[in-house]
Amino acid sequence: MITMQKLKDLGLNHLSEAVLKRLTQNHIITLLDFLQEDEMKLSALTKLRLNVILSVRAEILTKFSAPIINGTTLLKRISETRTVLNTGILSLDSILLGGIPVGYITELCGLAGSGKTQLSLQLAVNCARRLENTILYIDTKGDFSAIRIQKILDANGCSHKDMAEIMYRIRVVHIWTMEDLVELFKSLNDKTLIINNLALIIVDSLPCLMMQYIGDENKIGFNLLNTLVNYSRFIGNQLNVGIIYINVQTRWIDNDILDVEDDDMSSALREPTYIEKRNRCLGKYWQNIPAVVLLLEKLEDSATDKDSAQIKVTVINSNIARNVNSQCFLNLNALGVI
Amino acid sequence: MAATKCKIESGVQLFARLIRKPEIENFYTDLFQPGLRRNDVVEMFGNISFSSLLIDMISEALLPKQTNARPLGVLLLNTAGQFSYVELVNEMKTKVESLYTNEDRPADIESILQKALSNLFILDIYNATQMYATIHNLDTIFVQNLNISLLIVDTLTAFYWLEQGFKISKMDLYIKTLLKMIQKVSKEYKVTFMYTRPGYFGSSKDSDNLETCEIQVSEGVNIKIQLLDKNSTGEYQVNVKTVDSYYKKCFCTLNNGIKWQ
Repeated sequence: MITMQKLKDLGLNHLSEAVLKRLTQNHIITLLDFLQEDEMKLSALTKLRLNVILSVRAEILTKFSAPIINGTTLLKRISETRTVLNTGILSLDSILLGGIPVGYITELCGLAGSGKTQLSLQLAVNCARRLENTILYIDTKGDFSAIRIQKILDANGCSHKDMAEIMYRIRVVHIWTMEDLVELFKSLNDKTLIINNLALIIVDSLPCLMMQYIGDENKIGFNLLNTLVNYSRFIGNQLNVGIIYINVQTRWIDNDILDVEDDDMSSALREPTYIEKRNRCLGKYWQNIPAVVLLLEKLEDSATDKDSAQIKVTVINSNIARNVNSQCFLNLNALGVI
Repeated sequence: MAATKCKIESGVQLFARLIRKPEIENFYTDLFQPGLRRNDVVEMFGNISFSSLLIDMISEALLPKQTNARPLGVLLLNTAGQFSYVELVNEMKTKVESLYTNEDRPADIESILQKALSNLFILDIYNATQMYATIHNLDTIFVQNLNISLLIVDTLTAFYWLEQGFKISKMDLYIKTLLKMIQKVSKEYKVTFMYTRPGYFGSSKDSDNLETCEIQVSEGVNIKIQLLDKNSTGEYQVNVKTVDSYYKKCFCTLNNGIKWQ
C-alpha cells in the first residue's frame, strides 16, 4: 500500500541515520510531518543548526514541489504537440471533438457484449496504422485476439507485410493483478520501461482487476486505483499519450418508489412498478476520474445481416461540456468497427 | 504570560504581502453576487466536470470584461487531470477575436493572447508528496509572482485514497486540514482561494443540501457552490450559498464557452 513518502526514503542531505532516528522518535516520519513542524523545534530535536534545517526544507521544496508553468509556455506547448489522437472513425472523432484526448483518461463503458473490446481493438488497429504510433494494449481478461485483428486488417485489404508491421506496433501485455498493473505504469513513469513512439494505452478491462478488493472497505483497492490514476495522468502528459480504460456497466431491476400524492389507492392495491437501473462499475471515486466517458450500447441485431450489428456511442461525461450527450452510431461487421 | 510566536520575514515577503493587488470585487459577477472579497474561500462541488465553469472564470480573470480593469493573476493547481488547457486557450482566443471587428482586428492576435496568458500559472500535481511540498512552497510562488490574486485547486481531494493506510481519516477532517494549510498562506498574501471537490466526498450527508446547510466561517469556507446537470441538454444549474444568502443561477454551454441566463 502506498501512502505518504517517508523522510528516510527521500535521500535528503544532512539527514543522517542518527538524525532520522531522532525525528522518528518524535513522530516526524513523513515529508509532511517535517514540513509542518516548526524549524526551531526541528533544530532542537535533531541538534542540527537552524540554517541546516532551513536548507533541508529548501531541498525538499526544490525536489518535490511541482514546477510552475506559465500560460505563455502552455500556449507554445499546445501549438507544438498533439492534443488528440484520431480514432480513424469519422463519426467518433466528431463527437470527441477531434479524437481521443491526449494527456487525459478516457473511459469506454457498456454492458457485457456491447462491443467495448471490439471497439478498443479497432482503435488499436486504426492508431497503429499510422506509421509513427505504437500502442500498448493491456489485456486483463486473457481474451486479446490477434486473429480478430488479422481479420480486420485482411478485410481492409492490408498486405501481409503491412499486417505484420501494424501488428508489431500493437504491444500486448497480459496483466492479472492490480499490483502488476500499477508496477507496469510505474516503470513507464520512471522510464525503466521505454516504448518508442507510444501513442495510446488501452487497459481492457479495469473492473476485473478491482473485483478482488471488494469487501474490506476497499481501502487497498482505492489506494491502488488512486496510484494508477496518478501514474496514468503523469504518463499521459509527459509521454503525450491517450489512455483508455474499459469499464463495465451493470444493470438491475429495482422497485420504483411512487409518489403517493394524488393517489388514493392503498399501497397494497397498487401495482408494483419496476424500473431498470444502470451503474458504472469501480465505485464513486472512479466516477469523477475520466475526463471523457463514452457509453456503448449495442442496438438490436440486424434481421437481414446476421454478421453485423450497430453500436450507439454516447459521450456521457466530458471535461468539455459542449460535447456531453453527443451521439454517433457505429457498424460492427467483418471489416471491424466503422 | 502566553507565549507569543513571531515570524521573521524578508523585505521581499513583506512587500509581497502589502502590495496592492487588482480589484476582485467586480470579478465574475455573473455568479458571485454582490462580488468576491479578498480572503474569500469558495468551495465548488458536484458530480460533473468543473472544467467548463473554471475555464470561463479563468478566461474572465485574464481578460476582464470591464475595459479599465486590471487582469487577475491566476494560479491553478491541477491535481485532478480534468482541466482542459486546449479549451481554455480556444475560449480565450475567441474572446480576444470578439473584441474586434474584421476591419479593426490587429494583425497579431497571438501576442494579445500571449500577454493575457502570461498572468496564468499552472502547477500539474501528480501525487500527495508533490501536493504537500507545493502547498508549503506557495509562499515562495506568491512572492515571486506578485500579481497572483486567485488560487484555484482542482480538486482538493485528489490524493485522499493515496494517503489512507489501514486507518482511514474522515473526509471532512481531511478537507479541513488541507484548507487550514492553504488558507494560512492565501490569507497572508490576500489571495482568493477556490477549490473543487467531488459531490460524494464528505462525511456528512446534509452538507450537500445547500438550502438548509449553515456555512461556518470558522471552518474556512464562506461561499459554497453546487454544480448540477439540469436536464442533460447542455443546461446547468448552480446553487450558491454564502454566509447570508442563497440563490440559484443557470448557464448553458455554447461552442465558444458558457452563457449565463
